Amino acid sequence: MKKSNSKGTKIIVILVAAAILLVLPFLLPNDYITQIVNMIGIYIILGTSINILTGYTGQLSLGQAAFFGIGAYATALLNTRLGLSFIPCLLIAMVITGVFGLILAVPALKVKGSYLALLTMGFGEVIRIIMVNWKEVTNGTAGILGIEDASFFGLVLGTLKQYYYLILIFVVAGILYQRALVKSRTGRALVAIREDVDAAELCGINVTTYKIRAFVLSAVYCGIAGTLYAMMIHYVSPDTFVSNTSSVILWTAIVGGFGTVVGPVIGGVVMQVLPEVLRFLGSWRLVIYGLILLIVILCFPGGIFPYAERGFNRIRRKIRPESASARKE
Amino acid sequence: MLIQQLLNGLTNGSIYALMAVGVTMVYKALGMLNFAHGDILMVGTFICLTLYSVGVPFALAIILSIVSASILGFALERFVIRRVEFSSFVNLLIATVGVSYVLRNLAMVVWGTSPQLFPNIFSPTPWIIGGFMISPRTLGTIIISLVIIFLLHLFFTKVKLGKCMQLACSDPEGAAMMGINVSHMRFLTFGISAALACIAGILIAPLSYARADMSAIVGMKAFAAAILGGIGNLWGALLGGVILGVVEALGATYISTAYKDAFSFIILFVVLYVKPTGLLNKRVENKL
Amino acid sequence: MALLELRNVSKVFGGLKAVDSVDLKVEDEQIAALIGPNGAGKTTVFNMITGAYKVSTGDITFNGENICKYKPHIIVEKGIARTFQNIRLFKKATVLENVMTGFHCKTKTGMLNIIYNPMMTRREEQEVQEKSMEILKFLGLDGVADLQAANIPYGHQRLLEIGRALATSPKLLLLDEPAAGMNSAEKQELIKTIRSIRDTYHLAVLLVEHDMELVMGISEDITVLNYGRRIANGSASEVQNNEAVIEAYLGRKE
Repeated sequence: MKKSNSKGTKIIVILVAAAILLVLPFLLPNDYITQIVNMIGIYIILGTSINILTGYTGQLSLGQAAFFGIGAYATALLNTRLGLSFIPCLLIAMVITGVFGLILAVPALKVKGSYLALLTMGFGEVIRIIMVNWKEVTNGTAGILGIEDASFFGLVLGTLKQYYYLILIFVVAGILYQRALVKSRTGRALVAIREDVDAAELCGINVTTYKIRAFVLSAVYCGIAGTLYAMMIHYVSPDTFVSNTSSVILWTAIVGGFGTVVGPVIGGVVMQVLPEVLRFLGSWRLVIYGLILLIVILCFPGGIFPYAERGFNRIRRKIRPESASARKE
Repeated sequence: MLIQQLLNGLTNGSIYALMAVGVTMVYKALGMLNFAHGDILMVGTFICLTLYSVGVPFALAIILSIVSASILGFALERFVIRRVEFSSFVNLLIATVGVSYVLRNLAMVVWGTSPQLFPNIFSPTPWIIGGFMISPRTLGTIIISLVIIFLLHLFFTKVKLGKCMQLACSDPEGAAMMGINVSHMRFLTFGISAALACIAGILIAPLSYARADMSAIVGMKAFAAAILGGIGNLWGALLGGVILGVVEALGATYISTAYKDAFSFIILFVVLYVKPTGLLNKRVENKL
Repeated sequence: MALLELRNVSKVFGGLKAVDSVDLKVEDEQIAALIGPNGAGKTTVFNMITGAYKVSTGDITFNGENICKYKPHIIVEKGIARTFQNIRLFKKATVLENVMTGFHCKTKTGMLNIIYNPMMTRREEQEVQEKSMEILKFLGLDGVADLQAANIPYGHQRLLEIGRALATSPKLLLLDEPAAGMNSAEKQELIKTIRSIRDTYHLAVLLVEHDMELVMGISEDITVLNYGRRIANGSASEVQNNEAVIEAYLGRKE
């Protein structure tokens, strides 16, 4: 009885959320806000990517911006040089970022902790240096202009509202896949590696291949985000893919709650909306932004979501003590 | 030409060594890298520059900036590290990344994003010794770095406070049992590490300019040097710094100037892949 | 042919012989014990059997196959599972998830099956969950299945570690000091549990243990190590009356 009731509520919540997400672009007053909402979507994908790698597998990465950038540059080049459209760009960008994920995974298997953080950070810097200096291909600091709008199946996207739906599809798919993954055999293996590598091995888990998988999958998510970004903004430059961006991606997963499915969603919203809210501070806004995030990390070490969940449960227990005791049985 | 490049490499290398020593000290105390190290260096450098440009004598400006960098180091330990250390390693590391983000953006607001000229401590006219041209900067930097590292070595091996710091870092429980205030010692470690970073910044800035985005690259080089030599090892830091500096100088001359900064990372990758414990440290077998 | 056989196995750490030409046999469905004073090399032997340490010299065969060259996760697949001296659970995962993780090598859903074969994924998942609950029920842990592993009592954590090991369907279960920190009543309980595990799952058990009460009460075959060497082997009464064993233990007490 109770179960079907809660299932009913769940369906209603999902339907309401879906309805809001579908009409959202028409509620947004202007393109500026739509752009921010789209960036939230892209950062949710990026946050999910690092959530899989760091949140679930425990492999800290400070170089996610590099994968994001590789995805974006791959798309930019494939589109402007070879004239490829959205879907082939996306698929090739996914493969390329996946390969780079594999390349990074090889040295990353050997190290852990701060060395791994440093290694990934160094990887990010090397990629950025290449973007700046390999002028014949990347056009240096000027970046690549003139990326065409995304088009597929005869459909050409032009407005930010249309991009909103495109990004939404990938956000939803990305989150659903993450959710299915972490509840699967693979997800358990990843968590086991995070919690205790030796014990994981003694459950028959091949730690090496699963770490590689986590790196590759995480890179592929970034590749998708990079393609969407390049197609929406029509422009890529090395300035976007700096270590600050890596930090923001990391926080996107952390602020919401590392190793939780909804963490990157909360993080994506917070991390993109906060700087806009702080716009009145002028040039000081990024300083205050960083300070606020630092304080959040200091006060809520596991991210906001676990605390919110605990608080929510406490309130629910107060309101309906019988439901809490019923759950225990 | 080759000798000139080697000298340049040694100059930069000795500065890297100075930074690496600071990195190594904190690593010993905390078991992790302080990702705000490069940012403390950058802020210290800018404070020095600002004081100098408002008319404070250069020597005094240097001393004041070193003092303020140490205060920054103390503050980092007191208000950030101490708060998160018990929650988890990942949080600790992320907290230092957060501090780094704040300091970098703060510097961009206060000092702008464009590179700024930094006064040279040494006179620009080169000395000629036995037919060799050697700039006072080269010699001065190398001597200053070596003297500081040597003094630190004496401090850690001969002075009681230094020995206590060593013990508090390597064996906190044992140190606590002997009545050493471990958290005070760690506090001091952060201060000294920050002061070293500031000195390194002042030495390197005349060449690289003072700029808000120097922290990432310079910080990474400090880490690379520390790990290359074998982290936690004073002489390893020196060795790592020098090797890094020389390789960079030679690489920039004979391979590519544009990719100069990438060489240090490539060295870093190789070291992490081949021997993560560094050149001077022994391998440890993983115990179950 | 014995299930597990160590022949002349040695392990050298930087010139120091931690384990010196040890022979050891465990038969099918036998409960055997490896005992000895502190630092005798018992855990090192375990680490070699499970592949965590490379064998310096000698051979380890399992089911007639030399397993020295295999990595730990392969050895688990071959049918050897272990527990740790200091409990090593996946602390933030639930009790049920801990056991389910143990089923890793017996299942095969990959990262892509989730997309193109969700039915198979779901079926396998359900199966794993049911089997895991069976194990938990057997160990009396089904009541705490949904709790975080870090939040259950110490004794339960020890049992859970055994449960996770059982999930890999081993033919040989290595228990590293399972009675550590237990009182006498709990030890008696543990003896019963180990026996019923052997009888239910038809596997052999090899214990490393300090506690003589447990070892003498349960083991059918005891091997005694001292300073990395085997000094005795036999039944409980044989070992208890062995001169070398008495000397090793009494010598340590002084």
